[in-house]
Amino acid sequence: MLQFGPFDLATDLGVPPGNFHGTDSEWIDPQLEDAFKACARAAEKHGIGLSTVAWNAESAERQIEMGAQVILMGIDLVILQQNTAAVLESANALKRANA
Amino acid sequence: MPSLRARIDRGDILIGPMALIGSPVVIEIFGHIGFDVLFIDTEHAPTSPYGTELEAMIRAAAAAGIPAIVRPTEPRPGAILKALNFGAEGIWLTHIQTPEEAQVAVAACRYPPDGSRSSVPVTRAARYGVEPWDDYRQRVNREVLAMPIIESAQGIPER
Repeated sequence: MLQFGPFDLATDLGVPPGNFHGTDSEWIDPQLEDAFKACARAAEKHGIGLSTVAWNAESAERQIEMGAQVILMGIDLVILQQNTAAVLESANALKRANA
Repeated sequence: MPSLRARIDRGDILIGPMALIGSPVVIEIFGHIGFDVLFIDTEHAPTSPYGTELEAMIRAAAAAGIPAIVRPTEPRPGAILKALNFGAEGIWLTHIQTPEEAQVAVAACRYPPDGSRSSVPVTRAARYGVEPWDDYRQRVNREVLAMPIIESAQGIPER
């Protein structure tokens, strides 16, 4: 199975890598999309399947449509950070309401 | 439960998170919550690709019923061997740029005659020798996912 690695690839191509935190609805740079499609074609040609990385569900759906079968979505550190920030925000809102 | 390879072969879409923290607890949560697959990173994480820390993470994944794909820091045979002997069902092969590099790295994921993986039956993946060696060798040669990562302009397939 071929694995598409967008972050280092974006750095090598000199284009934005997308958003690790999944808050950006925009997918990836056109150069990355072209590279993804080349990987999808090669994987299909050789019958080996394609795995990829998605910043969010929208990105994952788009990559599935283009041939991805296995998708990395979510990173423990990011999940912890985002949920911790949400808890803190709730706590601060509670403190403000009771000040 | 069908293997990761079997689910891929039948066309399932598989989605799962990456473990960077190095915590078996987090990995158990990922498994119990119902993700299809887990990616364990050692390239950008504090986890060593060689020792018992990685073994504990793979064991936690197995306990929670989630197949583990491991990313060693480099696609070197020794690091690949460790992850596979611990029980990884797939290996991310980092920074592959040429067909020759891919061939060497993929060969490290397969036992002879299909590849060059070093052989010993008393590993966690081989159930410490309880599974007959020939059965085990043929099964993992068929099922282990060798996954070259395309992450440089040079590595992009012909467009």
